[in-house]
Amino acid sequence: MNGYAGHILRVNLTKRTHTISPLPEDLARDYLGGRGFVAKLMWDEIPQGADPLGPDNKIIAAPGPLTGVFLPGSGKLEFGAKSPASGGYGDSNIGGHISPEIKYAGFDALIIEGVATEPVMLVIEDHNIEIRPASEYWGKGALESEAMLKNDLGEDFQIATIGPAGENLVYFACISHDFGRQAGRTGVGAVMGSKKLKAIAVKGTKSVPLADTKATIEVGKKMFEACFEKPGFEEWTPQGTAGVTDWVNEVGAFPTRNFKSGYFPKHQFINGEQIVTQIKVTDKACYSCPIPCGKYSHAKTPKYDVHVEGPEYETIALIGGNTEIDNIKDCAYANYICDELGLDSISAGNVIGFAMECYEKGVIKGEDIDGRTLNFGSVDDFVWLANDIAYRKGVGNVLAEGVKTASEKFGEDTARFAIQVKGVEWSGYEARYAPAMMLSYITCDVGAHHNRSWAITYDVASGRDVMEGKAQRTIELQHIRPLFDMLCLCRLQWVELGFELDWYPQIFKAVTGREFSFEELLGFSERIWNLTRCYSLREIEGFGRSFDYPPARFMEEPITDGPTEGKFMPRESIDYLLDDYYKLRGWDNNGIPSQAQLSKMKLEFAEPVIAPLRK
Amino acid sequence: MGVIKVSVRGHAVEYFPGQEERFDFPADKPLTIRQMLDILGVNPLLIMMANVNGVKRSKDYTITAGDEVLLFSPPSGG
Repeated sequence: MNGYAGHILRVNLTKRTHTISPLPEDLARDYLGGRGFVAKLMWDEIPQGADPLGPDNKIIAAPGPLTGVFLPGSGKLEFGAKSPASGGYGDSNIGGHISPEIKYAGFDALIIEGVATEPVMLVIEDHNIEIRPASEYWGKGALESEAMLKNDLGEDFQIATIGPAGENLVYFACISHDFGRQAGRTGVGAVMGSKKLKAIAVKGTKSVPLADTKATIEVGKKMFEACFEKPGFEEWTPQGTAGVTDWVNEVGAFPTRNFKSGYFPKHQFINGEQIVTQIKVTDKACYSCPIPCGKYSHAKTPKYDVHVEGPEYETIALIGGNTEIDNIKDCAYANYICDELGLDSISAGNVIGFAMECYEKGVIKGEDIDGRTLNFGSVDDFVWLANDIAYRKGVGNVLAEGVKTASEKFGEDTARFAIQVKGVEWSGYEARYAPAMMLSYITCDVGAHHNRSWAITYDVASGRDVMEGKAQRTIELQHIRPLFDMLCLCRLQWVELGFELDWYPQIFKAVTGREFSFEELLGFSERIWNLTRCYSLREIEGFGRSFDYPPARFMEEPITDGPTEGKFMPRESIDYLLDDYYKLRGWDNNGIPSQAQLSKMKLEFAEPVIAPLRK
Repeated sequence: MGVIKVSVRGHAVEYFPGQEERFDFPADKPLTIRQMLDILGVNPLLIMMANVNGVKRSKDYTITAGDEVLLFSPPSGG
């Protein structure tokens, strides 16, 4: 099959065995790759009711049909597993260089099942597969262990690791790679830790068949040239995503003080300019990327001396604004701590902001934390709590399972300000005055994540008080952006440079020989959106509409200051958005896909599971 | 009457007339970037940043015929 390596690697850690099987043609035909493979394999292979941190859960890692091909941004990898954070569908994508390496080793998907009895690592060198002891790396930081493995195995291995947070089953532990790239969301690192799998190391030397080699090179070259010709191409790289910090404050959407506000008065001290002038060493790119968004930085003060990739915007928002750490060096230091511990910096900033508010309100008392403090604005307090979370010490052990679980244990109305959806912490955009962005978050299939739909400019353009049309736009974006995760491409060329979407069917045809319009490709993405909904419906008791609401803070408490001061989104507005959204999706009023919708999506196999859930 | 050469980088171009990422804006007198956006019917909040003749400027910076203005859409997170 053109565009595919042609094989799936299955590794059983319990039996310490592996098998290599041909990639099923119908899987490639109907689900394309990446996120599509993850969703379908999860549905088919993870037993209903499996414990996310038990032996029946599986880690699936899948490149896409365009991975490793000569075109801009072809280096993404999709990780998936049943999420310990939500109990439902979970996936997270990662950049760097490991995705093409998996493909060059000859695989379109890795399926890792079972549990090892002692720490191990999976070493893949083309079709030579080994499960090796990894006790000497267990307990080491994610960055440190990657460096050790590079030293021990060779620089030409690409390595994914977990840190102590993954080893200790923290629900927002990430999988790390390339010294600063993370599959951060939904707790995929904890699933890896539950299997005692410290690392995956890959080296590949094979090639991937192309339908039309000449056309692939020609179209790929034109795509690069089109990037270079975009207005302001050269202006993108210096600050990367951190360049948006001031603007998010200007529109009053910057998470501040555990999402009490959408405006951080000291945002100029943690923005992209501060990265460039104070800490940046160099730019850092993923595979085949013409617009490196990574900033490799060095933060040094009398207290610390660290190198870190970042901070990128989301980290600035959740560590900077949300815990009110107001200088870029301290943000970079906290970023480094999260990266080394293997914590998702988005959830970590959200969880620690929540804990700081609990401390402020007296829910967490001094005696609960050995007399230490937990104050907004304190990087020292951030760092001790991040460590205690990763090692599950004291109150950190409660917070290690995320704000939803922690608020259930703390009680005292803390769920009101536990800023999450479906058990996954909200990322970097306050949405009380941005209806399409709000809807994007609450309907996101993996929880409160911006990756699936980012709609703030649409809200600004179409009116932030207007509810009509927001569901339609959200759905469009929820098909476009996850399509990139199926093809395993970076979307930044499109959204940041304005790169035309029409390029993608052209390169898809050259690589695979299959001809689709972009709209037709979106049809595959819509199928997966329905399938991931079905997966969570199957796995989470009572799943449906009630899981699609934001925390009470967003529905009842006005934003405290800044450009959006006084704004909140009452429950009736949320209901309007959800009603519109479900109707357009062909789902019932409880957010359950109709039989006709499943049939239209060619998901008839899900009907026996979904039918009993409809009222 | 001269023109201001305007370029738009990124997804906000879809909110500009004709969705053109490069166009000439007729300018018979100086005006601010914000005023130009108002005339174009584009909410200034859709623009994250502006460069005028290669130098970063605020949306309240005054531009005139012959200037080259580059308008940046906000990036969508990391």
